Amino acid sequence: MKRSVAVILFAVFAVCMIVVVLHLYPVGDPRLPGYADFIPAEIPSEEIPRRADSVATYYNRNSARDVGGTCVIASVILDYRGYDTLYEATVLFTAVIACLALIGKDHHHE
Amino acid sequence: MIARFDYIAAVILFSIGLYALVVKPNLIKKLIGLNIIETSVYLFLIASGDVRLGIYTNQWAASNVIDNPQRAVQGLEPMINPIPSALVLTAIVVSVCVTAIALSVVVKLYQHYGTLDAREIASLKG
Amino acid sequence: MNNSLIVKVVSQKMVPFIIMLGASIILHGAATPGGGFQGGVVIGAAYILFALGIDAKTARLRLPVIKVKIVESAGVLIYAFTGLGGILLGSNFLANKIVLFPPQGEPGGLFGGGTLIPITIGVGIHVACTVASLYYAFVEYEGEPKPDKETE
Repeated sequence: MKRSVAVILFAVFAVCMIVVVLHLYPVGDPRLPGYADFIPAEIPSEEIPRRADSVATYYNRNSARDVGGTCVIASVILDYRGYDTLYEATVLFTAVIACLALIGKDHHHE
Repeated sequence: MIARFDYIAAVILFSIGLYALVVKPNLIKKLIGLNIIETSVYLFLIASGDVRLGIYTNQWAASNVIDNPQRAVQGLEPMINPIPSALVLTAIVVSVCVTAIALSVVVKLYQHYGTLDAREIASLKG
Repeated sequence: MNNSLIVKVVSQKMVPFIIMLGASIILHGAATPGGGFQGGVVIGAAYILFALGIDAKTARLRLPVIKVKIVESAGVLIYAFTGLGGILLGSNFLANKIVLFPPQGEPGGLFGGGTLIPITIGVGIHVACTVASLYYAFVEYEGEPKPDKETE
């Protein structure tokens, strides 16, 4: 009984979110805010906000010149946003230290 | 509907994960639900930066992204947005950290209380 | 551990190939999809396979925990010192093309990215040792002695 009520509740929740999602642009639509730079000729240009100077367009066009790697994502996470990845490694390090502090074993007395 | 299939899959995954996170009493199952929610967020982010060839024009569908990176760099070919992918790479590592710490807390809880049931743990004292 | 002979032998023989795959993913991080985190996880998974095939204590003798922790810290330090190279040559932290440190190769090649390759190697080492040490922490946990109930 309780479980069926929960299932119905979350199904309603999923339907509500699907209704919201159906109002977005389709996947790969150039009008999406996450879209990078390519604008096909069939879409009138006034529908598309100015994306030619977005940071994704800059990364796509200039990462080979700025960084030298051909993988744009590696260039972004390791060079343009290098501080982010450095502190991300620090976060991982801190998490391991926290795990060892919680459940770790003392290996110094062996 | 078909054109937004990635979003719908992300929403369904999110609902499954939220169901597991809220309804299931077992702490390990709650963690699994949390991971499913994270996976759905990754799917949504990457789909929002994706390029789907051929939605609008046939000429666009005929172009090949990977075989000619020079044209892509010059802006003549579509390339995906690199920023959601980079953010998802960061988010995966953070999710691994959260999962590791939560699992170690669950191990300590089990060792202290002798059960993984969240209701029993809430009803017990000390 | 009373694994069967097939499990023991296969899990030992597979380890070098998995480590080679992980190293390939790490070293091509600047040119192809992949990178430090992904390759590091592959190498860490190779170590977990190695430790699952034989006894965990025998595996710990092959790769002691103290060494894992030292190498794990060294991975982050490789990253940080690569960034410091930019400061020493008169530019920003983590500067790449401006100071030409380390020397730049052909774009698209293995060393095309400049600082990308040392950073990727450092992150890969760090993540591999992180996975191994998390495995150690969860496997070797034995629990503490139960507190006395009567003291309350």
